[in-house]
Formats: sequence, C-alpha cells, structure tokens
Amino acid sequence: MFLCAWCFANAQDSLSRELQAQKYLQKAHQLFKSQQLTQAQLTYERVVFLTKNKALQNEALLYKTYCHKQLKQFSAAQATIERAEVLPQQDSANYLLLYEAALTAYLAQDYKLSL
Amino acid sequence: MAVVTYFRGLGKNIALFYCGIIMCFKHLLVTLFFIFNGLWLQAQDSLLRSSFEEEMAFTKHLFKQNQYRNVLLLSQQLKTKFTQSSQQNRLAMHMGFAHHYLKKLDSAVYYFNQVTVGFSRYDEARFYQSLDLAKLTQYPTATQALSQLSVAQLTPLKAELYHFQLAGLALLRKDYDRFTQKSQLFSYQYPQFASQQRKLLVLHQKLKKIPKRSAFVAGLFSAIIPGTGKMYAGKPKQGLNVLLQNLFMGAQAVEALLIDGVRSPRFIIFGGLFSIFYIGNIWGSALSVKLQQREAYETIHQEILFNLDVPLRLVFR
Repeated sequence: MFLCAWCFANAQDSLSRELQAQKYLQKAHQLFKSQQLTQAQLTYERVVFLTKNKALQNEALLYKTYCHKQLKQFSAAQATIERAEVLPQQDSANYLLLYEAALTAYLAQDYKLSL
Repeated sequence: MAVVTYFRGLGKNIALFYCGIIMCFKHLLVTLFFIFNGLWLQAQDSLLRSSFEEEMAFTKHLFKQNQYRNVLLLSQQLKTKFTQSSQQNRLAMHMGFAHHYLKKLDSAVYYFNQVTVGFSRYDEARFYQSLDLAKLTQYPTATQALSQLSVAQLTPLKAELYHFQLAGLALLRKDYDRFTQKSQLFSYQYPQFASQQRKLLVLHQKLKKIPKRSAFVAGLFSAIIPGTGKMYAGKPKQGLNVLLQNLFMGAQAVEALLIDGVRSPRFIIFGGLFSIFYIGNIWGSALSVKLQQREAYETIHQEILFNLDVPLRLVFR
C-alpha cells in the first residue's frame, strides 16, 4: 500500500512537472514573441529542467538557441544547440537541429565543426 | 367543483415548486461555473508559481550547466520575491558564487559579505570572501574578513583550514614571522590540504631566497661598465650582449674622434648612437632589477593563491 502511495505520488509529481513545463513553454514563446529574449532564454531553460520529454526539451533548446543568436551570443547559442539530442523518426526536427548546430558553429567561428 | 378548484390550486403549486427548483438549479449551475472557473484560473496560475525550494533546484541545474549569468538573472528576480533572512542568505551565496566563477571578484566579495551570522554556510562565505579579496591583492581586508570567524565554533577541519588560509595571507603580505607562527599550527592530518600546507612551506623558502637587489646599484654598475648592471640583475647573457654593443659603438666613436675630429659628422653620428645606447643601458638595468623582482614575486603569489583556492573547493564540496 505504501509502495502504491509512493508510486502514485511520484506519478502525480512528474505529471505536474510536465504540465508546468508546458505552461512555461507557452510563457517562453510569449516572451520570445515580445522580444524579451534574455527572460525568454531563461524560461526555455526552465522547460528543459522541468520536462523529461526529449522532444519538448529539443524544442526549448532550439528556441533558446534562437534567443542567443538574436542576442549575438553565438558561443552560448552553439553550446545550447549541442545539448539537443537527435531523436529517431523526427526528420524535420532533426534537420532543424543539425542546421542550427552547423550555423551556430559557423557564427561562433568554429569553422571545422560547422562542416 | 370544489375538487376541481383544489386540483387546479395543487397543479399551480406543483408548477411553482418545479419552477423554483429549476431556478435554483440555474443559480447553482452559474455559481458552480464561476467557482470552477476561478479554481481553474488559480490552478493555471499556480502552475507558473514555484516554491523557493523548486527555484533552488533550478538554480542548482543552472550551476551544473555553467550558466552563471542566468543564475544572476534568476537570483535577482527571486530576491524581491523571497524576503526571509535564510532565503536572502542563500540567494546571496548563489550570487557570490556566480560572480566568483565569472571572475568578477569585487561583486563576488560584495555578495559573500551580505551573508549574515547564523546562516549555516556563513563560514564558507567568509572563506571565499577572503580568497577573492586576496586575489584582488587586498590582503589586509582579506585577513579581516577571515578574522570575523570564531575559531572555537569551527570544526577541527575548518579550524585548521582557517589557520592555513591566514598563513597563506601572511605569506602574500610577506609577513614571514606571522607565517612561521601560523605554520607551526599545521598538523598535516587532513588530506584535503596537507600537500598544500607543505607547498606553502616550500614557497616560503622560495620567497626568502629571492635576492633583494637595488635598482640604484644596477644603474651604477652599468654606468661604470655597460652590461654589468644587467649581469647584477641576474641576466648575464643580456649583459654580455649589451657590453659588446656598447664596446662596438664606443670603438666606432673613438675611431671617428681620433681620425676625423670632434666636429666630423661621423663622430657626431657614432658618438650620438653610443650615448643613446649607454644611457639606455643604465635606465634598462635599473628597470630590469625591478621587473625581475616583480616577476619572481608575482609567480610565487600566483602559486600561493592557487594553493589557497584548491582546499576551499575540497572542504566545501
């Protein structure tokens, strides 16, 4: 019974974290649209922290990279996109991630990596 | 007739009764709608509102990712939101460390200084404040910051670390008597900094061995025999090089003087060149003595600071 209660509490906690992550992602998108980029990149990082969903993490990392790029922080942008994981059966998302990885490496003057 | 009237009245009453129920139900539905709507909005809002501990977990994540600027941004926002003393102290510690890792030492010192007595990590704040002040070459203030700690309240490990740090600061101040006094308290029993304690003793010997040369004497030597000032400063090869240059220029000037006379252009050119080399060499010798000493002290000071930094990381890991 205690094990069940523990499992239930854990499940509820992770569900709440995922819900929180979704909400923060919406908020981050709003901040991104209103060009509050420094705050937006922090909120995207919070999404990465909260969620265990790799696809959601990748989305947040991609948008965080866009924020850094617009702030002209190219090394930070490169470091951010390199944290994203290429997932199987997500060709369009993977294409975007790899394209950004190459572009940010080029912008950060890491020409060998951009190739 | 009476029966008909009775039933009509009854029907009216029943209709009124049902009407009342429907109205009540309507009101109930509207009320429930407002209650649930309020609760839903509150739930949505609370999803974006996190507790202090959750924020601290997020800050820890930011530290792990080396995102120190984000730590500063977040902590600045949290400072206005969480105003309890312990919360403010934890935020000050985080801001101090973020600045410390960003190598903004004066800001790090400011935030470590904000940590108040009674906070569980007060000693850690004082140790790091002292280290950052030492890196800023403010040695007396660094000693003062450390002296705020009460040794009696420290654990044996931290008490030894306290003496070790004070010994290091004494060495940085070139107060060798104080260093000897503090180093006698070393027990070398803590693996976190036993090797650093031994290293400080070696550095003490190295510091004492740095010869105290005078810039005036170096200049005087160079004036008597060009190049000997550099040799005195500890650069024999450079000295020999300068000596040969000056001999060559001097010989050319003497030859021009003897053959072409004082007013000849050749003598004026070679005599002028020799004078420039000769005076430049005197100035250079005096300067090189000072630079040599500064370099020697600087190298050892960097080594001392490194040896003071490592134990803090190991003890407060």
